[in-house]
Amino acid sequence: MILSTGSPLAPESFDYVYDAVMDAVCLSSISGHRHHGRLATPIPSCPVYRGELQCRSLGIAVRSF
Amino acid sequence: MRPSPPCRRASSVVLARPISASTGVVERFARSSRRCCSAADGYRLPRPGARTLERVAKSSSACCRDPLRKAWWSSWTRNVDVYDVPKAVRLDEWLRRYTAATSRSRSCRSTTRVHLFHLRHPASRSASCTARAARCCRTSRCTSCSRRPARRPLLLFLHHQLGVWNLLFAGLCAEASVMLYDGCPSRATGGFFSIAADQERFTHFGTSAKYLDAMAKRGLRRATRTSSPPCA
Repeated sequence: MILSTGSPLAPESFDYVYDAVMDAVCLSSISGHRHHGRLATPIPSCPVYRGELQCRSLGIAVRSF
Repeated sequence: MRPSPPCRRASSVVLARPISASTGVVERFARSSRRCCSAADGYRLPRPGARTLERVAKSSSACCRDPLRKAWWSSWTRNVDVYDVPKAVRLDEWLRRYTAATSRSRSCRSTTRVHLFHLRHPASRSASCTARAARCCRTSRCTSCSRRPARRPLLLFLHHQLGVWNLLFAGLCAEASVMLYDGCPSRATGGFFSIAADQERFTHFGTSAKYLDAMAKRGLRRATRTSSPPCA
């Protein structure tokens, strides 16, 4: 599992990782803060969408705007 | 859209807060058969031959009866002087405190030994959290030593963020090989993945979007590609 944070991972970076690094890996773009906790979290059992954060964290009302 | 990987280890991950839940996490970790804990760090001391993790390995060998399970560090890191970070605890001071605490609890011979190494924290809040978590580890060890006769040494190399603490403990509880890496992706022999991914076979790798972007711009490719995930 590769976790990427800091900013949403660009679609081209998804292509790069699956093409040049590893094709059978869960590449999860996540978001959060060390004090607030995870807002978007990695879930190995959920699909990965190109250019999108993977999954909202359980129990946190997260909305994007 | 990419399908989810077919192979995932059957395990549950506990995301723990370092203060309130660290006791339970350490208990859980003590029962797991983890692989290794690898840490690569970009910081080193300004003096030649005084890299931080080398000092960690040397100091831990001196104060621990059992050797470290694993210590891995990169040699192509930036030359950053960490002594100028305010409100931080020097590694020597942290080891001195831990060694003193270990001496006081030496009567508990059948204990699980958890060695905590704290490099430097940029924020005092993080440092205090780490210190309190370390006390929780000692409390957990002393109160339950009769049920855990095995001695399991561990190297925890904590970086400067609380999130790393959560990631590290959660990953170790899931029996993952956790690698924390802070360095340049393109120095030396052509990238991080080709060197460490296949050697260490880590299962979780946390990085930043900028890191992956930098790798893509430099055209780095993994030397040995595999069709199966590292946990297979």
